[in-house]
Amino acid sequence: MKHRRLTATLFYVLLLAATAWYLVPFLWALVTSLKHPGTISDGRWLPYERASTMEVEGEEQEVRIVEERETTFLVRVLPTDTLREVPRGVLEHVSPNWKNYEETWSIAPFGRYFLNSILVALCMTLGQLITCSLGGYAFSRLRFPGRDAVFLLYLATLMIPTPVLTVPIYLLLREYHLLNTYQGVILPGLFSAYGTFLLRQFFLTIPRELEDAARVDGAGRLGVYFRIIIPLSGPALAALATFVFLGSWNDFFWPSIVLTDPEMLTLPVGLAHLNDIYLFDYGRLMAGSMISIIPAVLMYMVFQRFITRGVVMSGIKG
Amino acid sequence: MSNSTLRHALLGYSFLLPNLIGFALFTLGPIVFSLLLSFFNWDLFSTPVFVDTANYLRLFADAGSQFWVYTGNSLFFLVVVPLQMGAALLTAYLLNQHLKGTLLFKIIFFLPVVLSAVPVAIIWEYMLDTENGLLNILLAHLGVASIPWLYDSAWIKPGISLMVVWQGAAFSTIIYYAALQGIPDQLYEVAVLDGAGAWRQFWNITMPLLKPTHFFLSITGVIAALQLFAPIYVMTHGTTGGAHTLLIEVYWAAYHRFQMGYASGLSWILFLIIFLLSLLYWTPFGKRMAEP
Repeated sequence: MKHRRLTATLFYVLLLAATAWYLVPFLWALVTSLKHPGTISDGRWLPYERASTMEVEGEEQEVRIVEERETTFLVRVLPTDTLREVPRGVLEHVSPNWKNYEETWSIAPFGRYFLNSILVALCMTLGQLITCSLGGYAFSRLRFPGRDAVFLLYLATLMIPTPVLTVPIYLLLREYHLLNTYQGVILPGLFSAYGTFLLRQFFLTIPRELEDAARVDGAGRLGVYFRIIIPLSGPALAALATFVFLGSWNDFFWPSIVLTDPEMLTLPVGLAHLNDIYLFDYGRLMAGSMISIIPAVLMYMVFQRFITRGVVMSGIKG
Repeated sequence: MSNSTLRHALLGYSFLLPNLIGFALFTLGPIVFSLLLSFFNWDLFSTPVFVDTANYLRLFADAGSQFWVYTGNSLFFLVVVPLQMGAALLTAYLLNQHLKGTLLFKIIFFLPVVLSAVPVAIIWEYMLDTENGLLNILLAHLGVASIPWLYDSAWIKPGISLMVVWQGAAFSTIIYYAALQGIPDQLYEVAVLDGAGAWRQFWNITMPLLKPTHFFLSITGVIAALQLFAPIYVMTHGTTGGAHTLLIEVYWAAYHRFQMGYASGLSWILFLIIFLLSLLYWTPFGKRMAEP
């Protein structure tokens, strides 16, 4: 009994350590995003605002901080040009600075980035659900000459890394003047050999008798696809949707190559631009990061179970 | 061709058509084209010039070629694979102990999977800042001198790896957790009757049954680690320095220097490395590792 309690304690200690490892960067970024200019890198866990005046001998006087000490400030009282040491609390108090958010929001069109990301991700998801389910159905249930050879070709391409494909796709899009267009980002993502494979494997597990029964009742192949296969494949379709949506939502490489127009950037690309503009201006950069993270976190909170199941079923990094 | 075969073919290919167009335009076509392109020099503007295998040979023979340095940098990032798997296995194991509050821990540990690498990289760039980064502040308390994580060619790869592990472990945790939940309780109950403690249960039951999961996570982890882009690009603002990998070189060659043939050739080398590494898994040793 004592042994078990000891184990449980150890487990909780480890769980809390892991929690800290995951949460500390977030909290640190959040606190930094709320800090005031001049205190950004003070290394403290709360945002402090500093006053530029203080009461000296009954009068409000303008002061400058000359030196920051452990618990005090050495300040110069400007009108009298004298030095004084005062407790930190006299000049600073805890207060969040929302200006970082306001300024970042006005510099980068985050609303626009957000809509662009949603548009691209939704189109790709919808596109793959259609093309991959139709293809998956053909590969799993229809008999036609060349089927197995074509399927083998699909499988062989699963090993090819994306960088091999991107140079020719870039050239193709350039040829048809699709660079820097939404179509250019979306088109190559409307299909995937992996999604086709995933759905084919799932469709194979649906009992053939159901399909035969529907055929006897006079349903055509398209009828079977819509009334039997699709309704019975909820989990697999949801998994593919999660996989494609997250992949597109988080993708940086491809949209950063195709898109150049500031109005058309997706959230990750827009944020990366901000990172180059506000070099080392961490107050604003953390505010920008927070803005771009919040929609994903909200989406995750609502669909947590759904997303986790989708990740497990599709089994490849989003 | 008989009437019925023709009908079957028409039906099959009409279902397959949208998919097949995508496959031809965005997978098979590019693969063939990329292979051909790797034997040419082309800067997008002049006529492509056939150069035979020069694009490949210059990688190995050219005195100024940084090929081995880039390859070394790419391979360094494989360290993230065991690290994120180890961290993920531990956290997934803890989550599977049915302790109170597990749901909350689960939500926190799984979260990074929905985050884009870009904001995470920006946050970690700040975490790793030489002067003001939290990591160096914490290390200073332990008496460690501040480390120039992103400004020193020796530290930049470990620095970026930290961020990659932080984010990558979440995916592995989800997969391990699902696998652990799939192990029937009866197996542990029998082990308890045999007097096996938690430690022996872990090594004699859990680990062997997780073999396919280790296999899956290590192979997808290797493939992902060799194709890291956003973390390196964002954290170094494109300068990459000591973290200039093969993929980064493909990117610079293709989209900044417009050496389309050379970039294509290099991307095939990257494929070859991935292919050779995954061959390891099909050796007798790899097979033994993969089967429960």
